[in-house]
Amino acid sequence: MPLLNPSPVTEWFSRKFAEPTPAQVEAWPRIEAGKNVLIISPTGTGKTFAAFLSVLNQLAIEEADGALKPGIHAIYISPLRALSYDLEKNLAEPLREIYGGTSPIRVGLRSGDTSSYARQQQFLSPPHILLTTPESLSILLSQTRWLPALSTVRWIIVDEVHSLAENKRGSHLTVSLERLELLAACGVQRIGLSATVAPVDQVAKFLVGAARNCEILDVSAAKKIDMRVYSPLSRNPYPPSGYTGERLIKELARLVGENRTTLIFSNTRSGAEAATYWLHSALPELSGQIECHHASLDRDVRQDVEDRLKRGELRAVVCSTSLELGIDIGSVDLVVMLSTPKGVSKALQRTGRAGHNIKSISRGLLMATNMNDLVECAATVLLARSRQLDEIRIPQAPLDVLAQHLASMGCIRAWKKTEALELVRRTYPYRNLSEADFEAVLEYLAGGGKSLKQQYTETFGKINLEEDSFETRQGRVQRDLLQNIGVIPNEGMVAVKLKGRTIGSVEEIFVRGLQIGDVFIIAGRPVRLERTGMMECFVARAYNAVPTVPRWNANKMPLTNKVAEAIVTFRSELRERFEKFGSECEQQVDWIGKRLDCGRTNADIICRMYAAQAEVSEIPTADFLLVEELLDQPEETTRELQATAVPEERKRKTKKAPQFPRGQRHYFFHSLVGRAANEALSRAIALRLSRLRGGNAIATPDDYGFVLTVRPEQVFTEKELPELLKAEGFAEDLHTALSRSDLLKYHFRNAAQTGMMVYRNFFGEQKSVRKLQWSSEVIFNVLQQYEPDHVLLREARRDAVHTYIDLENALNFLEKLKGKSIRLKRIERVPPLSFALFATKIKEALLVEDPREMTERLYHLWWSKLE
Amino acid sequence: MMDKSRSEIIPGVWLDYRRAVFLEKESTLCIADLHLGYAWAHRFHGQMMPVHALDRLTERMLELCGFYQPRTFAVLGDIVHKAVPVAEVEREFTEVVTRLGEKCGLKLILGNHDKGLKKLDCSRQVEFCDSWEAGRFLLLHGNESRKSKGDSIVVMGHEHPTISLGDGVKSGRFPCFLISEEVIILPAFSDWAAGSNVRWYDFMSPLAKSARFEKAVAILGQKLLPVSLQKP
Repeated sequence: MPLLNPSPVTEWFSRKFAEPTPAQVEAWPRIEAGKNVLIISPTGTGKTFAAFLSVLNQLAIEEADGALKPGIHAIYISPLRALSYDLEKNLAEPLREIYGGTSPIRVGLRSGDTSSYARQQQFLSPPHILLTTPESLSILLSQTRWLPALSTVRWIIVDEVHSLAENKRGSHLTVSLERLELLAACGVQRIGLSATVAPVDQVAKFLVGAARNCEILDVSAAKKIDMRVYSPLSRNPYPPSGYTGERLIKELARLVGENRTTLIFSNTRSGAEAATYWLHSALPELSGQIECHHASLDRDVRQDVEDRLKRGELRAVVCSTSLELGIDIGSVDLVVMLSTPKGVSKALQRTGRAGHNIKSISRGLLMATNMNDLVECAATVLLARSRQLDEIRIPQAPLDVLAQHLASMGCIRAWKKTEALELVRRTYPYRNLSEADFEAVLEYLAGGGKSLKQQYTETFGKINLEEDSFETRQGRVQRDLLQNIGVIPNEGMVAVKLKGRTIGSVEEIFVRGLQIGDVFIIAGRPVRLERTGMMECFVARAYNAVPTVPRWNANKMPLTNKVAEAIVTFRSELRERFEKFGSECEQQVDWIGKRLDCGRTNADIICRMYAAQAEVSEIPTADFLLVEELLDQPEETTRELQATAVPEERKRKTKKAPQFPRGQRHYFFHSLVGRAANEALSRAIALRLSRLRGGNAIATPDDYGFVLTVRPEQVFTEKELPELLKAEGFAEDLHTALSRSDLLKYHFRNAAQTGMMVYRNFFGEQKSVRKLQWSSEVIFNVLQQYEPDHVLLREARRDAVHTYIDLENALNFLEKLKGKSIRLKRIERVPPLSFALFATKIKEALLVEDPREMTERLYHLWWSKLE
Repeated sequence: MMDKSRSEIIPGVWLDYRRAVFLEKESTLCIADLHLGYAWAHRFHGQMMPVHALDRLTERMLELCGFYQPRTFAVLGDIVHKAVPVAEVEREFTEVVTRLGEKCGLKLILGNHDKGLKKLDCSRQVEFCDSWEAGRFLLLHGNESRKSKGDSIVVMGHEHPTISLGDGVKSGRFPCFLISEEVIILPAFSDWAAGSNVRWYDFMSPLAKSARFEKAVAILGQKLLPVSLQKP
């Protein structure tokens, strides 16, 4: 093989494989030349060996020359332990075949699960190749005794870079990598493995640091993708929503029957559970080969599913995002996505899981579950075909992660402030970190600022902060710190135990709502609650019972802007055609079918939907803002809402269709800017309304707009809309609305844990999660009042906005609105485009009322009920 | 018109929105779960809790003292959050003991968080007890397992009861008193205490578990609101 210097490894490869894959051909010479490389390609393109063969080769050559030094030479980091397990097996194979039983080149795996015996062995005899997670790497870097073994590192390989880049775990990793570079005796080479992602140059910088070079190898075109849309909708423009629509399940069952292995993605864990359950019912003869997989299931349960999938023993797996990443799952014939994956990149990544070798075509099917879904899926597929990817957003300078790193850096020695700041600034996320922010974090770690130091004899910080240097306090502080390294927050979950074995966990709130004897679904099968403990509940298998599905508080993935833009354009075009040629569907179906490339049946449904919209209201376009005003909840809509309820829920008397108290009015704002921007708009506008009229307004956003639900006395007119929608002062109003929100409290809780204000294990006591737990809400209130600029509060705001709220696009939208008209239209029934919003169960009431007023109002409300 | 900030829940027993119970005949004012030095106890162990004065604890206690002028002021346990040898914690404790002691007799009942409190410097010459009988009432913290003695009504803390109340739009959590024929549970006096929702009936202490609570009295701002509890 001319690409690499000959060694036992190259010999082995030539024997095993006919030829290298395109990814390997591109990667090896560059890696040999010592360059940093980012390899972008889907599963099954030989990424692992593209990265590793070069490394193995070099080690084998040195070993043969007797020049292989002790210590760690290569570190592989992945966000999932399962990936490391897979890799360990994949590396063991060549080593065993080349060297026999005891290979002189050692591979070691280190994660939270590694036994203390194994850890000790690793310390005494460090593996040449270490496979690990971001957290474990950080822990090693913070212990003095590990530094010598780490100083020999020459290669860093980071897997699933695209998934790490867009969250704080990735930011955390970049600082660890800089700390590693500083330790390394000679230069460190970085190799990144990523799925399809954009923008590539930012992701490359994320991998190698703000100022270093990186070669980008994009071989994703090498694998062919065939993506289509399926809609089980009937002719009715108000179809049942949710995955239990009978036709959808029938079709899904048919697909599972026709393919050897089908991988089915749901956007939520609840959806995955529900779909698994329904598939079991639809295909009882295959139910032993249909499994569920998501993050709240126990690791052993997941491992079992992954192993069986790999061995080809399963016909279908229904998962949430858990199988998106590149764990080896054997060969999958078809990927089905239930409902839009909310992003072009995601759709491509998921489809890429199908077809396990480079020659096969990856088949992906998007199944639309309602009207809006259908149009979205069609738009997504069109964009995917032309490779117009949505862009990930890399967090900028998360301060809680910084606090954790500075404190753990201080464990090994004292640092000059300038040295630490320079190190951190070499990473991409922290490249623009201001000195003021850096100082603020150090002050926080030291106990909280000069004013505090003056008041109290001892502030008990985590670090000793001098004029120009810092070091972490010895003893318990360091020990506790090392046990709490990481970014993944501790949520209020209760373990579910079946026959003594933990199968997964569910949210505490869910368990609290259950009674003994209630049946719910976990791992796709119904179980009955037998008793509850402090942090666990005990269940038994339940057959022939009507179950509920737990609703995990999973991330809501907002629609990406590209897809939203595509849909706005489509709507404007369709409206024009309706106005020119009439809304008779016979004439429009052809055009729609071609425009969206979605087939006649789908085009017909879409046409009817938009025709109904035009009849009941009008089609919103980019030229104006449509606001629909609906008084109360008409009878028809109630019936339609009941039809959207899960069929089994209808049988249970306790579950009701969503209802709103009478006399309310609903305003549908058709701002098609994606959920994240609508989160911003709805919160600020609800606040403005409450200022104008008093009281609360419930604001429910989704990708297509938001609904403001108000009481009769809060009704407003078309004249007042511009005031509500003005761009001036918007950011401030959003800030105020956010400061009273649950969202911010949730993110603060995470920031408080990551930033080490509180430990996950409170005083080592785990008696009761609820009772002895520090109250993050209380801390939050204290800080809001006395230290509103506290670094962790600022981080919570940054995080909440970064992840869920798109201030920028909301402002853009409002700016553009200045030149357009805003129309308030009275409607008698809920039109199709607003229906999805209306039917969504309101889980988060976005409360913007002053909390003191709320207390007063509650008091009067309840007291008047008594008298 | 009834003054809704205080309520005579049973003859001779007054609930006060300031999270206190006044036993009229016995001239005894009760509060529970002070958790003095909460933030400092955390800091001592490396958790960077904010140390701003959230609770004006001493002022609140003195206000109650001034209003009721009780013969005895009883603190029903968890006086400190953790008995750590930290100057600020000892200072807070001393302040409470000194300033209250000037106005009325103090009864400091020890709770499960008070382990080691007796050994701190600040506790020299301070008297503690495990429980106290005041007429027909038995005052204790509530963590230990014991049966109530005869006809005594137990007055305790420990559970930090709160109750969720909503208007159909959103609910909030409010500290509350729990009332039964044999047991009265006070809400935590300290704002730091994370409470548990009484609607879940998940009590820690055997005394609370065996009681049948029909009513909770929630504290909404400066008013009291009785709420009936229906067991599921």
